[in-house]
Amino acid sequence: MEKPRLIREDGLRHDGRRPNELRPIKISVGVLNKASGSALVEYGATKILAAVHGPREIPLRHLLLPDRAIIRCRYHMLTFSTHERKSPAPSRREIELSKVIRESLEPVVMTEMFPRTAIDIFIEVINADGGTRTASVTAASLALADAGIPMRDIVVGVAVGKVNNVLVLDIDEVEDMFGEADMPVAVAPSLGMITLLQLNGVLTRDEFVEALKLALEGANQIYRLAREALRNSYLKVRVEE
Amino acid sequence: MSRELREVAVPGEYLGVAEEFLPGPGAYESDYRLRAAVIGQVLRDRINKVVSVRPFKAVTLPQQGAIVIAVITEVREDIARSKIYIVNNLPLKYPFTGILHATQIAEKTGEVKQIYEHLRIGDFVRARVLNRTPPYLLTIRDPKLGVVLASCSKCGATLKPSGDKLTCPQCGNTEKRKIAQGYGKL
Repeated sequence: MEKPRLIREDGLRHDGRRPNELRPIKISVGVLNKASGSALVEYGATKILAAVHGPREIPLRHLLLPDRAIIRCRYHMLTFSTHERKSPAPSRREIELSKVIRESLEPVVMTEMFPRTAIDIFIEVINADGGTRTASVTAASLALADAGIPMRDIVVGVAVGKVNNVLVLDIDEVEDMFGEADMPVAVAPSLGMITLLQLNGVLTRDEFVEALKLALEGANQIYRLAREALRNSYLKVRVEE
Repeated sequence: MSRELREVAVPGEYLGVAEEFLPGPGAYESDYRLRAAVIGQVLRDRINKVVSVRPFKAVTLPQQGAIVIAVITEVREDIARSKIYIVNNLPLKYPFTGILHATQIAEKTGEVKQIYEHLRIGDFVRARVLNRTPPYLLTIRDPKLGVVLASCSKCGATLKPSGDKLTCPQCGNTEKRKIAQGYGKL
């Protein structure tokens, strides 16, 4: 693939967005009926399905903790989610992202209410176009809330990148591939808590401060949409009754 | 839809300051602020000063003291294992293991010599939960508790109660069980 012009002459990005503009975000909650909770999240062309099972008993007794529930998380990319077929076997990257997503959710889930049980999170990437881990965090936390599992806050994820020396919000695959830096962040906005912060590439100190500010602004926008989607999914149920 | 019903909270939602209320079920306190922990309807008890959130979709787990319906899966010399499917008349999404010890089976102590004479694999029992966390310990030491449905070990037909025993309406076989009051009614 040839490197496209990432920042156009008019200051907009290759897809016409302003530097501080998110991709169009779509959120639906409670899309699956066999899981305890589920959510479908789209950041532009990135499409993530998350399902939650539990709290439930598991046969692997040695994993259980006497004072709280354990969270098990699987991030997985479907074979058709990328340009070239992705092997369905879990790759090194997927195993790491599973851990990173789990750790970004653990601080908000009240696991101490369900000792000796397990809460399982299954995340499937249906279409990958950059920012899959951040969209996965959003989807997983909405699926947990939909399952009725007590949480301190909803966690939302968003990435900031640097392309052609410009800090841009919610980078897509092209910007990630040809850009200079990629910084995924997960935030619990009501609590003012950052539960995930990674940085790939190089940012100066000032750029980092600026990037984090941009990420928090983006996270607040997504948080508003996420809460609205969650609330609407239940109001609809109540009206149908 | 009443006005009260419209106040819907999602996790993290601000409900008030700590001086106003105590956190009830579904709410918690963090940094002197009260917030919702689940998605549901906000209930403000202004008399007792408690704010709680009644969840739209609650997680059901066996609670201490709950009456459960379980199916016996394994009977050993001093212990019987079961799977709990119903808690206080509500079905569980995921079954939990329940353990019945020999001392928790007969109403009088020292009566159980063989669990086999009181419980068999496949029996449906009504039991009470004794502890808080899985694996749940159960008791059927109460006239209301015990086997509520069992099938014949010879032909598989549903057994009918006759006195303190169960008989098979198809093959006439008689079996012993720790029968609960209201056998046959789940």
